[in-house]
Amino acid sequence: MSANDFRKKSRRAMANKNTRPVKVGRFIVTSHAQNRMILRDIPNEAMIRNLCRKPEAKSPVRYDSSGRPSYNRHNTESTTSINPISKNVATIHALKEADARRYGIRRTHLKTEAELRKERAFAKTTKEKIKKSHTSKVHSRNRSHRTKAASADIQKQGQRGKKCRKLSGMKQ
Amino acid sequence: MQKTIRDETITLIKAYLPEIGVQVPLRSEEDIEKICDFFEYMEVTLANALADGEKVDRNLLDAAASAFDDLAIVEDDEYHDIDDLNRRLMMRLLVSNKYFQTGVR
Repeated sequence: MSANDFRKKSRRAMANKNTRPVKVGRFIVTSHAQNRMILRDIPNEAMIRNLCRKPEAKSPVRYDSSGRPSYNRHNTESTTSINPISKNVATIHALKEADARRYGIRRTHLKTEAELRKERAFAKTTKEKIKKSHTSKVHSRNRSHRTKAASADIQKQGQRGKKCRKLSGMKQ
Repeated sequence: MQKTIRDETITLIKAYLPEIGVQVPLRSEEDIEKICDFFEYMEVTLANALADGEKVDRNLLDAAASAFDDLAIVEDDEYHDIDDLNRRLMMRLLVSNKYFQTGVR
């Protein structure tokens, strides 16, 4: 599975406790990270942005009691915790205010999945409205063209009739 | 917007108070940040162990992650009611028999 497949992975599948880990770039998004993405309402695109773009800051590597290393990768909107040896993404959350202050990162609002869904719906409706208005304009233009052409034809025919009547010497 | 802290989070803070290394009553936002960092680290440690195939208490992992969500400030308009948090923490500490018996939190 690649980043593109991860973008398309359904939210229902990601909410499952035993969901499959997904490879995004050189990192592996663990099942816990995917579960937390759903609970924290973080969109898939935010995870991909964090992992595939150059990070704003990285925390120093820390070792837990069993000697497993981990470091945090900070973006302007989110933070991921990564094991540098196995490349496992342990978790993801929105960038904390304290971390932004500590590393001098200018924080941007992380759009939640619900907000993105609203935006998409709004864009869809406006697009449809524009399309509808455009088609109606085209129709009206065509209609006006047709009427103009028809009136011109009628005029021509009328003139022709006049000429004919003149030539034949009929009274108008 | 005021952050709402669940009872489960208070229970978890109480359980790990000696390891977190903060004194109750909490004095400032820095103390809360320290607690938040502790639970973030706890979540990362347990999630890493789980990913490596080790046996992990999943309830504890979820509780730590939820405690982090309760305490972390991620929006500009969010804040904690420290007085309320202190009151609830003190109540929990007083209720525990261990505190009465030994005086150790």
